[in-house]
Amino acid sequence: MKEADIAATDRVPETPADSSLRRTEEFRTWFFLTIVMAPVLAVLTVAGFGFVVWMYQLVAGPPGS
Amino acid sequence: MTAILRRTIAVSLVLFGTAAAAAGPTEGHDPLRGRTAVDDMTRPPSIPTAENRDLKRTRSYAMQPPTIPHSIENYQIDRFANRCLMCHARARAGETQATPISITHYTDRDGNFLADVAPRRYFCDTCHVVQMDIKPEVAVQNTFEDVDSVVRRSQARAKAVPKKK
Amino acid sequence: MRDLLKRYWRTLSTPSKFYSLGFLVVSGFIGGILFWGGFNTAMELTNTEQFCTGCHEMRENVYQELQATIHFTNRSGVRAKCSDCHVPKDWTHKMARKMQASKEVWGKIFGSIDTREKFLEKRIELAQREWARLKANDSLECRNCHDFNSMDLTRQGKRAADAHSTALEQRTKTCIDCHKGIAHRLPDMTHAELR
Repeated sequence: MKEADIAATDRVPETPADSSLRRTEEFRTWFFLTIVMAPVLAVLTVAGFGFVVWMYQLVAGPPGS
Repeated sequence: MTAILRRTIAVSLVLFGTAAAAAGPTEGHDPLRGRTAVDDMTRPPSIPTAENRDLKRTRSYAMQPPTIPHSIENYQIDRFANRCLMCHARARAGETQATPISITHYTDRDGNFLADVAPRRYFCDTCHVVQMDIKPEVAVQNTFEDVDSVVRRSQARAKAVPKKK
Repeated sequence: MRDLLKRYWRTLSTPSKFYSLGFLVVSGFIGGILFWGGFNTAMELTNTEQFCTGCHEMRENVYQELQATIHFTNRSGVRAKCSDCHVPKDWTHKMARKMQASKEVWGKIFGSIDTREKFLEKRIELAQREWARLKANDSLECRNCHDFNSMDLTRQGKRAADAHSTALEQRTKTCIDCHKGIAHRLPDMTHAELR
């Protein structure tokens, strides 16, 4: 959406309080993503991958056969 | 001290003194310690290893269980598995080129021939041993004489006796 | 509550107002490195002897048997720990094995081999699974340390040199075919199937 498309009535000017809130929110989001979400997602992905390979090996036999 | 106690101590001292005087550390030697002095430490010989050259050895007498020409360290012989038979069983000997167990190992004590090794012959190391790689002087000495030399000796003696006419 | 979630979703889905692109990318990168290092450290911790023998099922049965063997103590001190033989080195197969380990966690919780009797009963099944795994991958875990091409057959005993120069060289047999029971005692072989 271009700035020109947003109607003047819809554009809400940010107060300093809003800015500060936004800053806090951004920090918390960054923190959550970097320290919690990304590691958890990575572990789940790798575990899921390992699980799929395990199931495949149950059907196809141990690796090398 | 009571009279009985004093007498007991006196008798013990006399006996101990006699024993100490009779067998001092420099006279006789303790068969377990050998000739090492009491204030010295023995130097035990190195732990020997089994001969592992896979060369069949001469048997001392015809029915001797042959000695094992290789190391059998950690070989499992129990109710679950027999590592010796893994190579020496009749069914395996063709593939392994190991001496198959002799026919004598298939009879039970009543003389019945069994299809497989008899239970009384299952524990191979009851009769078959390895030989340690050591100098002959260090080995346990014995006075065993080969039957051939016994026969030769008696023949020689028979020859020496003049024949009665 | 819904309002809160809406606000945070907006923060998440719109470009950052206060954090630079550089900061976001670099922090993500460093976070990734730290995570991967931590992940691998934790993974290798589950490969240590202390971890494996943490369960009494392992410590009192197979670990006791291992201690008498050459893979535990020998003249050179070069030895194998549990994971050297039982956990594949290749990353994909290692992850698969670690997921398979959930079965072992289940067994620990529900005590599938928590007594000596139960262990002895189940032993042949467990052993045959491992033998089949090693036969399928041509004893890869053995070869991780024992490289056939580097074997000096002149330094081996006659039986070993004969066996290695025929069956092993011609690939008719693999290590595990003859060396079963090398690390732990052989289980009750009465009902073992020849595979």
